[in-house]
Amino acid sequence: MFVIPEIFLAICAVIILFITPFLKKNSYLTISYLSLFVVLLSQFLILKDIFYSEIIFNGFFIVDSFGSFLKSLILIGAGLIFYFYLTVNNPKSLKRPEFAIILLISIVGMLLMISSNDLLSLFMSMELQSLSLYILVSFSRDDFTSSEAGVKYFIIGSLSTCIFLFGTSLVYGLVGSTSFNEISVFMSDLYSTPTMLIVGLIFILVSLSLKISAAPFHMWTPDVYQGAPSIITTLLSTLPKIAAFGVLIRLLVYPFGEIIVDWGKILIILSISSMLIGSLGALRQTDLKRLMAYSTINHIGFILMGLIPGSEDGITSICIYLIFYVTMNLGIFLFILNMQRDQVSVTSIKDLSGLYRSQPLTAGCISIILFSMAGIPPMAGFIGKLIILNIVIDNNLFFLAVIAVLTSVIAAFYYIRLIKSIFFDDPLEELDTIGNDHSKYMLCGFAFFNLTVVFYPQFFLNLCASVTLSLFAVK
Amino acid sequence: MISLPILPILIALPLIGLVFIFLSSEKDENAEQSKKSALWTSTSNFFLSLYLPINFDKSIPHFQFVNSFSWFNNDSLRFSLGVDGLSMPFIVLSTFLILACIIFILPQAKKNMKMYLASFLVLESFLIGTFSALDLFSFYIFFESILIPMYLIIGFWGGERRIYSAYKFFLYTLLGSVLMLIAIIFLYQEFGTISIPKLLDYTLPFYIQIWLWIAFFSSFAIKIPMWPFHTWLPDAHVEAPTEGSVILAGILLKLGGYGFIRFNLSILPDASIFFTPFIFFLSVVAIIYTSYIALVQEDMKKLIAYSSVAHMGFVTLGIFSANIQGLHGAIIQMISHGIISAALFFSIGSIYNRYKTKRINFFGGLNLKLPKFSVVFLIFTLGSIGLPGTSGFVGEYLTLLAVYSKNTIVAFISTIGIILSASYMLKLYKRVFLGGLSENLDNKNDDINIYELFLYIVLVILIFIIGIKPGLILSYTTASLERIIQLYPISIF
Repeated sequence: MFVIPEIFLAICAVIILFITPFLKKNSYLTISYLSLFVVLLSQFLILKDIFYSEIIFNGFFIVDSFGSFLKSLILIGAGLIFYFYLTVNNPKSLKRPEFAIILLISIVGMLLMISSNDLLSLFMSMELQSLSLYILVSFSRDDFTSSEAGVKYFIIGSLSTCIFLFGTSLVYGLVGSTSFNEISVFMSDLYSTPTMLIVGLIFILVSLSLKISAAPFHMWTPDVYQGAPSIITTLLSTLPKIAAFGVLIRLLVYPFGEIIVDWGKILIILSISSMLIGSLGALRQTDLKRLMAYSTINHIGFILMGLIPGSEDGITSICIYLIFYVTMNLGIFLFILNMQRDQVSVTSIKDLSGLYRSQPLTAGCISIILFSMAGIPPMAGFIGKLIILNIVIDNNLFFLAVIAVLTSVIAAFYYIRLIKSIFFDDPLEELDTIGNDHSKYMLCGFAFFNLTVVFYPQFFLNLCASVTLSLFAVK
Repeated sequence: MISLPILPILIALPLIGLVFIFLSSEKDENAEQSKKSALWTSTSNFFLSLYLPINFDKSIPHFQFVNSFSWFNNDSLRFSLGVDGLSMPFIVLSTFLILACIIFILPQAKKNMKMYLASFLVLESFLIGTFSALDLFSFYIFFESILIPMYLIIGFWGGERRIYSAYKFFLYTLLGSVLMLIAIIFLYQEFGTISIPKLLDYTLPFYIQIWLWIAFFSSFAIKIPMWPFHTWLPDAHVEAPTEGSVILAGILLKLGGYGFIRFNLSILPDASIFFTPFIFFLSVVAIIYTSYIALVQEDMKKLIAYSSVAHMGFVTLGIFSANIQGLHGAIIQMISHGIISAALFFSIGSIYNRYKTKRINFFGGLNLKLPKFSVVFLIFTLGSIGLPGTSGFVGEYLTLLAVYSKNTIVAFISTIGIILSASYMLKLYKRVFLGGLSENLDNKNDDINIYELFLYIVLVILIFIIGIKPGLILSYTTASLERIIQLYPISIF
């Protein structure tokens, strides 16, 4: 039984749900600790069989080391988010036991997404993930912006689902099956690709683009990021992106690998527009969370470039970039979670001004992470960009490489603007100092990681190269 | 003899000093303890770097003191360090100027002194790394990393428009270098290696060389800076604190010249020949145009900044003449400009520390107030003009000699630049030091302190030594430069 981690996590989530009514009021801490423990246990279960590979449940799901790697990345992220949730000063509306349970269920959805080997199972797991996220985004019920963000996310999400189902039905109509294996066999027997199949693939791609918020399907991102409670924004900007990328890679490389010429062009357009919008859109933002949304779009555009050649090296580079992306984003959001003035959360860029005067260590860590996001060497973000650019130039896509570096200069402008506020501006009103030591140490940890990756890049290269091998072994 | 891993030590030592600075818990603006650690670190680093010229084998044109470490997973991408005759003088210059800056900081008090000192030590480590990197990726990483401490130095301790200038500096330089990154990755894909010694043996087809040349040019032309790309320099210089300007003019600009020789000239010779008229045109414009701009400046730092652009015009002329005199001239011009412009910026810093202004109008008859100082400033001025006997003369003379053999008209026009440099520098000296005592200067009377005096005497001695016996430096560089010239195709210009 190799879906044990997912099954275990799902069962635990249900058990925890049943326990909750029997606990006293304010039981959210107990529940969260329990969930954190469950996440760690399933992480262990995944690592135990990380090099195993098998197709299970009649081809409904697939277990391979590529999936296991992304799953463990998701679980590490989830563990850290639980840890953030436990240590930072949360608003009252979040202090409810349901929070942790819904989070667990959405993680189950993400893990299943990555291991899906069939359009139907993919649809089911994507829905499981999305529905829990809709609830989480609108979790602060009394907060107007949170509810608004929830509604927006729900509408866009349902649209995405419809589009996905339509694309799936087109593919099913032509192939006669929804299994990835069957589609792959069908594709390899074809003389010329039927147009309707490509149309179906485009619909599926659009739906997935909505999930990873690649431009021009990014419209929901800034609003939802800003409206959602910060801890949920942390979640939104990291874990679902990993899961959606896992799906995208598996779908494009395995069943649709034959028509790389067709989807390659689409991905080029998606990545160029994401990089442009992600860098230009952020220039005039004043809210930190909104800015991070555009930053996410920019990074997504960069990651998409690695998928264009559809090669093993490309996917290795995506895996490396995802690791760095998650650490950078978690670092920044850990700081945003702690950004409070008189116990009230603030997220404006202006509030950053003069942070260096009051909290030099935090300011230093944040700047390292921001430099890393801007892709300035010697930080981790630069190594990630270097590896992706290497792939792009290897495939002679020079115009794409030039656009990528020019947009990253534009993006550097707004990251540098944040650093400017932190170091050079005079403080308006000081922020509360980060009270808990946990956050401080974690922040230092993230900064240290981003600073020192340059000394051991071969570790990540070897790791990611060995996990992507399994993806191509199935072929 | 067991060879010492000298280059890794030189890079690591400032970072160890950094740890000591952060360990001390002092918060005040003086931070005596941190100053001491910084002084000790930079002094020992300077004397350690003298190990290079002492043990350097002048007859070998190849890289020496090579250290190689495993880095990315394949053998083609290793982290290797080494120096040849071209890079060695710059490493010694970097360690020397950083030490000079730390000495200059000693008597001062600044906000956040600890971080200020730390930035300089980090800068030193990155600079040595840039000059000694033997593969293009580590070169790029060091080259770009310099932006971070420099951005902080300009933005945190600079003048009124510091934030604007820091931005401009950062984005301009970043924009140039990202194109270089693409070229570097392309070279890696093409040859499967980016080790600089190996790249020298390959030749690329002409149409590819053109594109790569433009990519490298965009980075180094902004860094050095050449004429249409120079607009960040006056802003950055004027707003940076004294020590920041010193490092900027003294070493960072030389990265551009170093890059031109190391990459454009050595790896892409055919494209270099193709673009030589273009470079000559830009250099001549830079020499004449920026000299005229320097003539009308009202801010002392801005004047020196524009004169730097003009002097760098001579460097690019010398480099792309692509004969041995030209390259020698360029190297001497870079080293000498590194010392003289550093000295001039230090001097302006001394004036600024006393009178809190850099406006030329404010001064007059300063020689009555600061007699010793006015003597050393005169020597620096003459050195900047290029009077025979000072180091400035050697560089400009050799460069003009080389250009003359290539193109008489260019040589003729650029000689006008020397006359112009005499006019703006002497005008500066006249307006600030000579004439009747300005009424602004009445009640302050303190000549330069012991730290400054020591520093200026050392700089004056260096200017004369290089001016009288340039062979001291050239004997190290000759072998490596001759190798570059041998590989260079015969040009038609």
